[in-house]
Amino acid sequence: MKQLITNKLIFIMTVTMEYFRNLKFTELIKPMSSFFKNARQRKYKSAGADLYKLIYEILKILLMIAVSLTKYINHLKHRNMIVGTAVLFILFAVSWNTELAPESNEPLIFDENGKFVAAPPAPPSFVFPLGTDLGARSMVNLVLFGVKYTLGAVIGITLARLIIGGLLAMVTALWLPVFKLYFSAFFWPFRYIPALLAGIILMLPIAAVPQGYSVKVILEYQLLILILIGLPGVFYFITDMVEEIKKEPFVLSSSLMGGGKFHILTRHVWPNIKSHFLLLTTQQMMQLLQIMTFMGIFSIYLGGPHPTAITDFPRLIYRSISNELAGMAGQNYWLIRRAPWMAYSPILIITFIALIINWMKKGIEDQIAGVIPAKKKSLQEASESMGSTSLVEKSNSFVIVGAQKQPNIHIRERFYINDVIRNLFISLRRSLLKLKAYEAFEKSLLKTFAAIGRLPSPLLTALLSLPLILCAGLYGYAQYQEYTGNSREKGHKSDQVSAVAAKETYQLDYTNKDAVPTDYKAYMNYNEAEGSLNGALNITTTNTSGEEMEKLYFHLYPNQFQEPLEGMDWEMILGPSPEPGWIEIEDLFVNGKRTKFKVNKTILEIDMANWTDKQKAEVAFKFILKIPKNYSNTSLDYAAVWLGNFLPAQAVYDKDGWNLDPITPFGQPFYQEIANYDITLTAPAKYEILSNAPEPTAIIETQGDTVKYAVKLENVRDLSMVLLDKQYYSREIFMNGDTMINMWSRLKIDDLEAAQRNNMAAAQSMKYFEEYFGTYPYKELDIIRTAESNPQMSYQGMIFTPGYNFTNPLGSVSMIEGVLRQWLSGAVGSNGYKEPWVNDAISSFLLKKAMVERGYGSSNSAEQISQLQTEISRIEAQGQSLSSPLKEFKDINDYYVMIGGKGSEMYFELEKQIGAGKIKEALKTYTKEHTNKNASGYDLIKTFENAGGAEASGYFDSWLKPNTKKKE
Amino acid sequence: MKKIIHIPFLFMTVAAGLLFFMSFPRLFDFRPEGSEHLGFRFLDFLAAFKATALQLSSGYSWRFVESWHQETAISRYTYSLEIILISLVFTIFIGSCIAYIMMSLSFTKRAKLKNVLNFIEGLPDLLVIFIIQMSLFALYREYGVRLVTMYGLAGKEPLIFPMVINSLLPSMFFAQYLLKVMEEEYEKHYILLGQAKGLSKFHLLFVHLTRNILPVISIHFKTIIFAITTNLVLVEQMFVLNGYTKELYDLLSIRGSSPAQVLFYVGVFLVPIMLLERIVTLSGKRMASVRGLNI
Repeated sequence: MKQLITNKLIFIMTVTMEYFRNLKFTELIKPMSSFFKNARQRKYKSAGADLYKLIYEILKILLMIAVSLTKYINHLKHRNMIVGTAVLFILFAVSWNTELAPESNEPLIFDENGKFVAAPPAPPSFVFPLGTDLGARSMVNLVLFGVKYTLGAVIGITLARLIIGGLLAMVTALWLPVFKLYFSAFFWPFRYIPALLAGIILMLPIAAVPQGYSVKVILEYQLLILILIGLPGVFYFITDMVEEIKKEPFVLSSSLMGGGKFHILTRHVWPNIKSHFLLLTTQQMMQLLQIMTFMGIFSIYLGGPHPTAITDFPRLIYRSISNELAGMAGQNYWLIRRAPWMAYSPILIITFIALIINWMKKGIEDQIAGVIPAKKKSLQEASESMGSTSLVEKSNSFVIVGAQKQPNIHIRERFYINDVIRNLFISLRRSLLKLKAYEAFEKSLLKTFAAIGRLPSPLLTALLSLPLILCAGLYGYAQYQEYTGNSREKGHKSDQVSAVAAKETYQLDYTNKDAVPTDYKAYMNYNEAEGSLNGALNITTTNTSGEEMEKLYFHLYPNQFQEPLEGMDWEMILGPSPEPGWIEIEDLFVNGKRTKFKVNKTILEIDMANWTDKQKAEVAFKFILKIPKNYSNTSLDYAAVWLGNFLPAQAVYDKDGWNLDPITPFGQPFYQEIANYDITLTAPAKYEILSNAPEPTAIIETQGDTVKYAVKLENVRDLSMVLLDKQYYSREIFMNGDTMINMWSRLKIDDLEAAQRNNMAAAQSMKYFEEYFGTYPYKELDIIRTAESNPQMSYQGMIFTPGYNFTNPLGSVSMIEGVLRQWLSGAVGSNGYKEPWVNDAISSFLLKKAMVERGYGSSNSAEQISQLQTEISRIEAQGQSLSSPLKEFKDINDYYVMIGGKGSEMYFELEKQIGAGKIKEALKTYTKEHTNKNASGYDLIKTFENAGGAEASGYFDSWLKPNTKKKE
Repeated sequence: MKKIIHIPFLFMTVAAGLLFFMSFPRLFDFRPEGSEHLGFRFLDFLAAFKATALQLSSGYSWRFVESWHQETAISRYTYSLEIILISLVFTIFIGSCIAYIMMSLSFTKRAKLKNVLNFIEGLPDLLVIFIIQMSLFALYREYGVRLVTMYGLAGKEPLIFPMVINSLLPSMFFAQYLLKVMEEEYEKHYILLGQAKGLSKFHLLFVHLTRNILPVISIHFKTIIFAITTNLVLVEQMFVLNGYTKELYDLLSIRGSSPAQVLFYVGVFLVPIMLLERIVTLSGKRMASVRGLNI
């Protein structure tokens, strides 16, 4: 057996030797052939006993092969290029075979034995050398997975740029010199706009936020742009090179001797430009890496963003869908305080790639400059092998033999300040040299520099990058220690620190400013026996999203009451004996074509086809509204039917996409664009029908037992209608200037005096608020008494108010609020679900002011204020803030305290700072600019900041900002 | 004569190029039917091309210029320009310091230092910024020392930190370039003559050499100012500074922002930079022609 192995080994060595002989490795051949001889001789002796010795010999030879291979590579002409390419290739191959680890949502990571390992994002440790990301995936895995995209993109784009740019440039330089002028004229903007900015301008609208474009499409677009922005650079570089070469005498003589353009290209230009192409490749790769990492910071990733955001402070940051390194570095930058390793891991690999490319570039540059590193090295080696005698003998003094002796010329001494400084330095050093320690220090410093200088450049590179990696590692370790040491408290602290950096909702301008009113045409019939409304609806809506839309959504608010609802707050809305209600949709046509639709709770989803920007679409369907019986906005009782938010209403499409928020038991969760209505309603003749249109504009025809009510309304946010049984209702009219205020209260049950008082309050407050908002925007105001304890709800020109306001002396306060709402959330809309504070806080502030004015007690007492303060801090500790959306408020009390209490305080305080005049001015501008539009918190703040000047800027931020210290 | 024919055509090409890039995204169909790849919509693109041209020519679409005068845009604008100017000065200062110090060293030491400089210049900019940022965090965490304000949050307008970050790598680049030019110049005969006459190295460097490399440097000034502009865009985004990049970013994030607006905003941003670059380059050329150099 041993004999066999020995024979095989000798055979392999023989073959290897032959191979190296073919490659002319003389250095290697010598020891090998001697070994070979020995082995042959021993073969006939006891070869088996010599096996270990043989293996030792072979290992020695292998080492020698390795050494000589290194030497061989070191002497190659394109050493850097070849080695660099090989390293990058290996990296790519490894990445190609790496599969992405699955993401987990578990808060802790356990190993197979169920032992706790870490909590993501986990810092670097033995298990996770580079730490983990938020989804418990090892950064090593992520980084290795992402490398292929980075390398692929960088190399692919570079090649594309070179091929396109190179061909164009060579053709231009040789055949069409005038084209260069036109090319540079065409790409003129790129001459002044930095590539990064150009890239951002072109990519941001497509690739910054998820918009449902497919990954491939985004990627292709990005690649095109990345090619385009680098094209001018390549083009100019090569045309300049070719023009330079064209000036050479050999080209001139070649063309004089009849050489054609193609001949010049292949024989003269190409051989000279070849190595410059290589140089250009590395330059372009470096530039691409740089620009891709920069774009990562702007959330522009190759392949586009993933719809889940990783952070929302100080900006909303999405993550890269491909895990490409540059994108990963950019996305994780925003977590740098919380999990620095997440940002460092990709950037370290990018650094590695960049260093390799830079090293390749250096090699090519040296080669072009005529410095071939291998030659230099061999020279050095030769000198070392010759011992201490250097190749060139230094001599500081020489004598010219046979020269005549020159007479001494008197040289005028000149005085230079520089010399003084130098002398100063020299004398300083001399005095320092007296110290032994300094001498030793200087010597060791010089030695170290000399030693570093002698190192081969890959080692030098590695040595220089070592401290960086060490720093990152140490930092990671320190973080880990800190983390494990006292994880709880520190965990909170690190969160606190990370809160420096994503925008709050109120800092975003999200409303759709181009919205066109949707036209609704409805034919309805009220079926008294069933308590339902049957009808047909024709809707004409315009796409103002700026792009083609695939879906259209409508709110079906009554569907909220189809299923039983639980919770204290809902119980208040449902009242003592609730009955369900819903809307049924059938026969839906879009542009005359029967279309599929889906109803999901309160949302109607319609599939649209070819609904491009600015195009109108006609949607028609039949509906049956079963009116629920409760204390909601759409309900009925024995005496009346009140219908608010009852018709299917198109959801708002703004910069955040479709707003499909549900209804909530408190606050005003509605968000609607202005619409036009054309309504026809038939009902039993006993009813008085009213809508938020002024009465005289309606056409009412009574035919026997039925009454037909037809009206056209323009610029209405929410349509509201009431059917009042004439037996039970009486009307109280009050005029305020040209505006008619109608108070509809129930005879016998309601206190007539209270009704009159309410009417008076409404009229007076209207006058009062006109100071703040300008003239009352509508001709008429109908105040309708609905069931006993509905929450009050205001529509444009119509208020639904509960029965208790007609017995309670405080009812008139509700009237003031109702009137106030005619402007706030009537004329000026807002996203009441997402930003309830926008209109609600102003309204509570003005309500309080109006109450003080009317003598309902002075402003809050000290005790009340301190009570309010404790309540506010309790609520804020639970993570709610003034700028929270409705869904985040735990209950109605929290909502009132925050929006009503803190919200009004915010304006009282502001009033103190900038004065009441400025507040009025700001509110006037706010209403004027946003009447019949929607305003966002951003718009509101901007208006106040413009009006309030320096004091107001930044003011809202401090009030609205969530209290991150306590927020988990 | 040839020129007279060329110039209008060139102008038209410039305009066509501008319009092309402004309506570039319209060339593509991002939701192609029945295909997974990016589609082309040539007719739409032509329509967009035309619409953009019309928009630019109509006075109506330029009305936003009035709102540009708003305080926020102006203050952001001046803030950004401030950072650019101060970083430019800083870059030139640091870059020349490095270059002159290195030139005054001996050849062998210089060669070694050049390697280091080359290495640092080869590092990705982001890594360098990350490291600086992390060390500042560490300093603050461990010792409670807050050297500089980093982020532009809560109404702060930091100047020192963006300046340093902005000019760190450009100054390395500048130093490298300066060194290269100086070394070339150092081979010239007048330097040899000066040395032979016994002029000191410092005198030669600061007086004779500097004067002669100034034109060459000023012509390559463009590269530095663009490096700084690129870095500024990045730094403003990274440190949430309330600068002009934010204004631009906000504008671009709005779907309906008109091409005229984008053009105006970008143009206003680049005009001072372009002017500065032109002035420096032209004065460099002038200096060169006065000195009889041909660049």
